[in-house]
Amino acid sequence: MELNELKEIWKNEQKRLVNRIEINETRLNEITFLNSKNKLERYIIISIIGRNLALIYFIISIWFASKVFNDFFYSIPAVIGGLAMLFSFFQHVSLKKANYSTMSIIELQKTIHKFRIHTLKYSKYDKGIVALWLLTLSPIHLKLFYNISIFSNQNHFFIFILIIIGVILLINILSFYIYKKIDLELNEAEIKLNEIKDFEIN
Amino acid sequence: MSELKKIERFQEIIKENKGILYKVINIYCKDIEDKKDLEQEILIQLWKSLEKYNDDYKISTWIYKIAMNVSISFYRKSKNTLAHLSIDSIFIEKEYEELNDQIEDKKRILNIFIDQLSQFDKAIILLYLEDYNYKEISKIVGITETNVGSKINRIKNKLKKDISKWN
Repeated sequence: MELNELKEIWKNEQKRLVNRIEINETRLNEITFLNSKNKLERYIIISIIGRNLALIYFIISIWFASKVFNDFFYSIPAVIGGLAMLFSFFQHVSLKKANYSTMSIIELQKTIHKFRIHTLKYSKYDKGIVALWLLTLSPIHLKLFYNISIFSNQNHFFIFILIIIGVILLINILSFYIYKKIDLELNEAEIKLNEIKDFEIN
Repeated sequence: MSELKKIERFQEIIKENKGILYKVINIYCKDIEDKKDLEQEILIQLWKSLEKYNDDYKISTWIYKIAMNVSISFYRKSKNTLAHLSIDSIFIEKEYEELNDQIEDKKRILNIFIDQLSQFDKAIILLYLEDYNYKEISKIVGITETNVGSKINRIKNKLKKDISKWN
């Protein structure tokens, strides 16, 4: 039996199929009006919003730093936190939306897997950058809005150091479980991407 | 396009191309609940892509492309699916009379054979069975025409081998 013979069977079966199936109009109406988003697309949009927020956080850091510019204990960490956010923005600048109707199958699948690899790889850094940003900004926030000067009061400074240690410990404990999962998913995505590349060539 | 016109157009497209959707879903998905989820994802994607529909494409090609793109993406996701939404399918399947045993056997062989193929080979063979030429297949799948040719040859050879094994 040849593929062409099966092709004929396929075609005849398809003609019968069209007569055999009907559309559930009620269900079709429901879906037509359903304004929900595909999960992956939502995930990509959230990531792109996150990337753009990093730019806003950078501006916030610089604004805060400018308010306490001469107080280097406050302004320099804020600038560092802001630069970390700017770094994060540039790391994600390549993120693009998947387009199901214009991209070819291979192109779309590569975009999806590249996106997964990209977000998984950088999620470790992103968590650290967010923690760093919060820690560099909170002293200025406390100083400007609550008149609490962490670096001039020993007790406040001690509490702040404890918070930093707490955050670092928490990140390390959580990251053991989170990163293990991330590494597994990353590995899976990389294998899939290589399979696609291999399919494209061979 | 006004919202009402879009709704009318969308429903018309789905009704006219129900066979394509049904085929792609059944080729990529075997679990009944997964099928309903996949069907929903494809319809949502078609709805969202309708405004971007380009007349350069035949409507059937556009549907194949979106349906297969969603199905291949869905395949990976469905392996980790935890819960299904309780939804109905848009397809109502009528009872049908079986054809003679020989044809039914060949249909079964074709289905078993397609099931064994990789996600991308499924896309290629589906388009081939639908009479798309190599150029069109290469454009939809995103590989060269030569590559399409060699893949189809490989699939034909695999079919010969499998059939001789099954006999």
